[in-house]
Amino acid sequence: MNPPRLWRALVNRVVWRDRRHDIAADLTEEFRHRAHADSPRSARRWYRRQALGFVNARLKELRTIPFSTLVTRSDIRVAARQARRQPAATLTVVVALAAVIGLSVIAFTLAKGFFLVSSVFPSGDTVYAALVNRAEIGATQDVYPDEVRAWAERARSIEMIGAAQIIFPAIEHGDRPPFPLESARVSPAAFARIAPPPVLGRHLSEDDALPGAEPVMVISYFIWRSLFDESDEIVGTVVPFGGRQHTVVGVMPRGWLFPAAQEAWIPLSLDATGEAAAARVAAGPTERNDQYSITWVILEEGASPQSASEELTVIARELANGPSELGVQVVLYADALVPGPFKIAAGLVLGILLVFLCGVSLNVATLVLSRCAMRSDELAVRAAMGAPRVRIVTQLFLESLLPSLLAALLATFLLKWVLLGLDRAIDGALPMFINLDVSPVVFIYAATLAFVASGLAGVLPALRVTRTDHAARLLNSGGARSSNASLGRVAAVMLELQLVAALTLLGLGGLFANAFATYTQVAAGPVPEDRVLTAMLYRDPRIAEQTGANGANREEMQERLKQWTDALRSIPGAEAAAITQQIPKQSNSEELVQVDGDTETITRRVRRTRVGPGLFETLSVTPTLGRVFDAADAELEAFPVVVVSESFAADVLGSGTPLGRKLRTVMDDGALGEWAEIVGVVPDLAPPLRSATAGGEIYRPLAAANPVYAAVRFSGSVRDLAQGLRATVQEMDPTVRVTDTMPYSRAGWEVRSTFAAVGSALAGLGGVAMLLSLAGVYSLASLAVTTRTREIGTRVALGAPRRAVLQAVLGRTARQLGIGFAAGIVLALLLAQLTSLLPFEIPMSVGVVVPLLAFLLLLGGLLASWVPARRALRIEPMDALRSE
Amino acid sequence: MSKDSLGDLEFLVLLAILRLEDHAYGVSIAEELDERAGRSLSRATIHVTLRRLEEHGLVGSELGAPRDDRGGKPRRYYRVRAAGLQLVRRSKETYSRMWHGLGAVLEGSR
Repeated sequence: MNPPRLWRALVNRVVWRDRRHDIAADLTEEFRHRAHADSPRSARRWYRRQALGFVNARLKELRTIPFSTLVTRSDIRVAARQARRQPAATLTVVVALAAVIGLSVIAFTLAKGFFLVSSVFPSGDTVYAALVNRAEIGATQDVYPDEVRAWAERARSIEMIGAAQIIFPAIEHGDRPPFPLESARVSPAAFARIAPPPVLGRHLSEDDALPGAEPVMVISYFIWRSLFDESDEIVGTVVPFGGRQHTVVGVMPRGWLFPAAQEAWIPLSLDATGEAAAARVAAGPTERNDQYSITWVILEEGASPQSASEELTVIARELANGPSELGVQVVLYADALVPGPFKIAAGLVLGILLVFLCGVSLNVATLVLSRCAMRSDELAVRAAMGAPRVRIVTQLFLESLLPSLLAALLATFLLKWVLLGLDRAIDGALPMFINLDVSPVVFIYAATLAFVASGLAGVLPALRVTRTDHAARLLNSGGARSSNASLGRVAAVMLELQLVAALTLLGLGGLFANAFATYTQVAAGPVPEDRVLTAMLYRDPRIAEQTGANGANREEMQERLKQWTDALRSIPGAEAAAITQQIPKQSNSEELVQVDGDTETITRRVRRTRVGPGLFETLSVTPTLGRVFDAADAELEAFPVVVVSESFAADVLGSGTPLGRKLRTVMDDGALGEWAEIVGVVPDLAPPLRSATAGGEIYRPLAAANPVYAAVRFSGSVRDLAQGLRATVQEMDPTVRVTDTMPYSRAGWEVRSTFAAVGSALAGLGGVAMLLSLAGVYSLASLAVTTRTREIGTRVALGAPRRAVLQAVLGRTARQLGIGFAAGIVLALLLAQLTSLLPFEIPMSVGVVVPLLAFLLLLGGLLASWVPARRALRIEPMDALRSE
Repeated sequence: MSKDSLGDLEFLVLLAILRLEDHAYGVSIAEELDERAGRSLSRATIHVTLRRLEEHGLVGSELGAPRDDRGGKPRRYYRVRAAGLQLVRRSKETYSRMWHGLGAVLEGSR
């Protein structure tokens, strides 16, 4: 009968190595005796107690070693000397670690700054936002004035509520041409409550919001500097702003942008009494056309966001006149500003960086391991002379910690430099609550990364090397436990791990970087865009209901569409104009279609945009084949036609002319739509869709619908055109609100620029990681062969032909590489499923990227084995044998 | 423990080894201490003490023949070295001197 296996293993691990066998045998002997005399159960209990006794005794021994003897000044000197002795290796380690720690710290700072935005404002108040989920249009930050007023008057859980309306009035000053300034109408008291004091002048006051009050405005520091040259006489200056003369009454401190990135503020009244309120009441339901872009809330002491949400929901439902599905959610201001998906994206990027860091640490571990292999004799002498294992491990840890610390220091400088550059580039135009300072947290983060890197890179190989019985190694060179053979095994395993990590990380990194880059490129579109202005014509569904806009029949709607298009074309300065269901670049409607000639089971998912007459002309898109829609296509009884994108023509229709081919819609319930003939092919206007059966874009004529988007090509000033557009829309239908006015080139630019940044970061990281992986594979393959110098010498001494030996050595390395590649490819393909998280199609196949990488790494690995193998073959057999 | 004096535990372990003559190994030393001195010590304590005595050159050890009842593993037998013997003698003398004249007191206190 034997003692419990786990506890036996524990005893073997903790007792002194030179007494391991006899102490273990003593304990087993006594265990058997007790099991026989007493009971196996009590014997086991006794054994466990003894094992724990040994653990306790060893821990006591460790505690008696003072730190000063564990790390001495000479250790640090030796570590520094080691670093100097191999400058190339040290430099590689420092640069590699600095790059990755630097990138991680930069990403951490940016993520912290942009995504972990604080909701505690300069006043010290924790600020919340009220989001309203309206069943018909989903969650939104838009809130109606009557709702805000009712909350302000009746809700007990809130101390103060403010509202802002984003506006884009043109500002004029001096010789500069007028330009639209992103501004906000804000409720003065609530604004003053959460904002810092102005650097010049005063805040807005409630009196400023009274009807008939003189128009006043407060401007940002950035506008004061860039537009007014930091003039001391700015307060009191009268500026044309949105077509009216406004007096500047204050300048906010640097960095204060609110509610998101707005730079000028004028008063907004929430007051329910007085003339303004009377005017609103008189306006009736159309008041609901006047929405607030965001509301901010300060809770009463003791109130929770949950209780406030419930209370505000009850009040808002009462206002909704009848049963309503709407729900109000009070969330931290930062959460409303930075939506969850962005936070997830930031987390993903940080996660990828950390994985990269682990990969680099593996490379550094490789380098340290090779150095350990070269120094195994020195370590053996030190161990034989009585140096405790803990001292040797500490020494090796220090040797890898020094470069890590140096790298962390370099990384911090890199960070400081990048942030300085960023600050200069954006010229203080960042909101105050985005804090990009290098905080102590970032320093702690960098130091932690350095320690983790050293731990992985230094301690693990150190533990491995010091496990070898150095005394036996010295006495019996090349005996049963050759440290080189054992190192060779470690090197082989690390080589395989390295390959798996390299293929997985690089494959995915390359894939994502390429996807992001392509997306950015495609999404920018081929259209000459700066002369095209797009705007959303927003119509509140409830108002549409009340005014009967939705109840019109198709003929009426078609007529209305024509009127809208004509009205847009008549705006002064407009060269061409069109109504469209969506801007092609931002279109997210999908449709399942079937193409003539395909069997009924084959369907394609395509991006579908319904465009009004003249949209392609407005965007200056000319068909590469056939024609685009004309007025006749938009007639209700017209023969159904469709225009497709080049990628649809190439991917779905293949060779042969696409003109004249037909396609039809497959509905969700399997019903089939009418066949439509393809009459033209246009360049791709939207980024590719993410779907295995994706097939590009199709465009259908918009015959009868309410206007959703307007696109106008213009000559002359954008300001005049925007004003003309507003006036025209107001004239056509006062309940329609013009929002999201922007040049076509800016459509979707936030998403594009984010993807471009992530893409270049990933590509940069991928490049660094690729070089490091090649270096890692090289040094490991080289180490694996170097450790076999003696074996090669023996074979040659025994008369084996050099070519056969070379083949045998390279064959073994190739086998190791093969195992690594197989595992790496499988893992990379599995992880490539992650790409389905992306909102668009991956242009480059994972089946291309990974084998390409594998080939490069294989080449590096074989070259790395070939060089030392050739060197080993050139050594005289006797020298090779003596080398152990 | 300094090199010229013995702690209580070291003294007992040295005496146990001396009593066991050629049969002093981990298990027998523990049993001897348990039976004669009434000290049931953990094996870790005994081995830590033996290690300390060895480091100070008071005790030596050597492996015996491989034994089938221990799965082919030998026992490690301990013996007291000359320096250890001298220290035991000196300790005994010290105890005797301190004991001298206390008989009546200790008898009386019973």
